[in-house]
Amino acid sequence: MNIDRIQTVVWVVLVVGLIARAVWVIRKYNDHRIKRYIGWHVDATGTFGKFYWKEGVFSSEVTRAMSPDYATRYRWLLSQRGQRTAVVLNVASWALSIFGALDLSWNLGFGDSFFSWWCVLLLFAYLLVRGSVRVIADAPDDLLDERQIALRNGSYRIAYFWLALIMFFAFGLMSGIGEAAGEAPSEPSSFTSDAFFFGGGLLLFIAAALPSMVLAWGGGVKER
Amino acid sequence: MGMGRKPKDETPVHNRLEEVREARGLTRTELAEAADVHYQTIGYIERGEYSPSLSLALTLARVLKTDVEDIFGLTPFNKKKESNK
Repeated sequence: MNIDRIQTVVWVVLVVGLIARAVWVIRKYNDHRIKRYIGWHVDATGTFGKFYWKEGVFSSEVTRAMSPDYATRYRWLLSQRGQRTAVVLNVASWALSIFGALDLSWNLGFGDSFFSWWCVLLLFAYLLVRGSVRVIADAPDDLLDERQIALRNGSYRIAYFWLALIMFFAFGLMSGIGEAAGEAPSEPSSFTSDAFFFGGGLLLFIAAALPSMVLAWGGGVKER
Repeated sequence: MGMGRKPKDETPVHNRLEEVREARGLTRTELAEAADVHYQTIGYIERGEYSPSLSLALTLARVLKTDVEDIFGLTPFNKKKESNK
């Protein structure tokens, strides 16, 4: 089965899924159907609640993640196994991202569709790990209690160390690849601009996901 | 605090929050709502996995209508002492 065929099958499954969700939402709910369709939690007043610009979250999203109902519904994700699986999936998505970026530059044979699908996986893995720690790493102070604030702050301290380490190796890797390709990193070229564009984008994702990953791996928000 | 690293050795804070809470007929969720913390935090405190701040300890004592020394202490609570209270 070639990559185009796989892509077609995935698109068909996706479209059928989206239609099925639309039918389910219309049949089940009488209000706020569009909001419910796109998956946002709708609070009692029918709004998303306050939006925290600095953290980039709605209060309803955090409130929902903190509720006992969320713990019951996503027990599989909040278990230590679920949390660590989410972390591993993130690391795997980063590795695939690097292969995807190299493929764009060197045409290693993964196919054009590979590039788009690792982007989806990257986003999915990021959302999964955020959910596994109940969005604590992204929540503002006034929606957390003192223990959760201490956990969040501690996770950022450790994540910062890992981010520094990853950036050190990432820039070393990009420079090394540039050298291997016979292109000096100091000279603008298609390869180096691609590498820095995608590498920079990936680093943003890593920076956003790392605090949640630290929390998830340490089991800091175990459901007990 | 379960961050994956062993915390520094510090004087342990013992508590009998679970016993006092149950004596008042409150669930963890009810106590958490009254003290304005997440319900998991009550579980962490009861298991001795998290030592609350002075502010939270006093709040919990106020909600449970008792003195903070009756819930938290630097020495373990023994059963005999508790039953006399």
